[in-house]
Amino acid sequence: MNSTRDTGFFHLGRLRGEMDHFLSSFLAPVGRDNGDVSESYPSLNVWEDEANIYAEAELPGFKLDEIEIYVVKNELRLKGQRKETPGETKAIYHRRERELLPFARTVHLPVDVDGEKVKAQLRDGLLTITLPKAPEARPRKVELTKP
Amino acid sequence: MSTQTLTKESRGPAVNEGLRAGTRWYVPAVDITETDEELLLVAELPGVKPEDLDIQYQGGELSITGQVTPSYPPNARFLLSEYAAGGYSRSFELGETIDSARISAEHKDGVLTLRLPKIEAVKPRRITVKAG
Repeated sequence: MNSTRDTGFFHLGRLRGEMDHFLSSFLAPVGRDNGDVSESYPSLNVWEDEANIYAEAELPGFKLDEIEIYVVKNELRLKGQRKETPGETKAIYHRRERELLPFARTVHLPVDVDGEKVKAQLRDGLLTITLPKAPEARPRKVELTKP
Repeated sequence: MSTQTLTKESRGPAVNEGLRAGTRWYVPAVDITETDEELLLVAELPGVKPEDLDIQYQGGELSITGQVTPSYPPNARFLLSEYAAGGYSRSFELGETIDSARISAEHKDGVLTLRLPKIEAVKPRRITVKAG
């Protein structure tokens, strides 16, 4: 009984690992950071259901007009730049950990999305983008007919 | 210039009975600056609603705790997962130089701005020298 379960979990875990590896080749960031623009910022979570892909980015402190979102086929591109940049100050810095560089991050989604119907909202520093899958990328239920 | 007020920092979950067990805790990124008048702390707490934020200052220690409610469904099929939903927690030992009655906080767009004015006794004073 126990050994059967263990085997089952093992296979599931291995399959999951292979899936992650497969998907990460699609979603790997394009390019690397250079000194002026961050290409790995912001942190992203991307998940899906049958109809949509959802992308969520942590963008604390950003305003709506400081973020640009582009969608072409299966490519999602996020750009942003803060208008308020820390000027020269006579204050002493004790901690300086916040990422304040402009960013441009591109991810490739596993399927094409319908760019016309993409929706995005920004709330409490989280950007949530809903990307409807292109009709041809959605699963179709095949109706069985009686012979 | 003014002396460094921050002496040490402890990381990890703050003691708070209201928090549910099993929450993942993250250390929020902060900028802290100091002028003659005050300490200014800016913390990034994306996903934390103002009502889910708890700030305490006691005995010279400042602690910030924020809860995040996951926006994805429990059974979400992830394609990319770079951060997990959880809470933010971080505390700082500021010493006895802060005028706790005048601490002010603002939380907007996932960013907390805390102004921590210094007590009068530690502010630098300019001594006017009169001509004799």
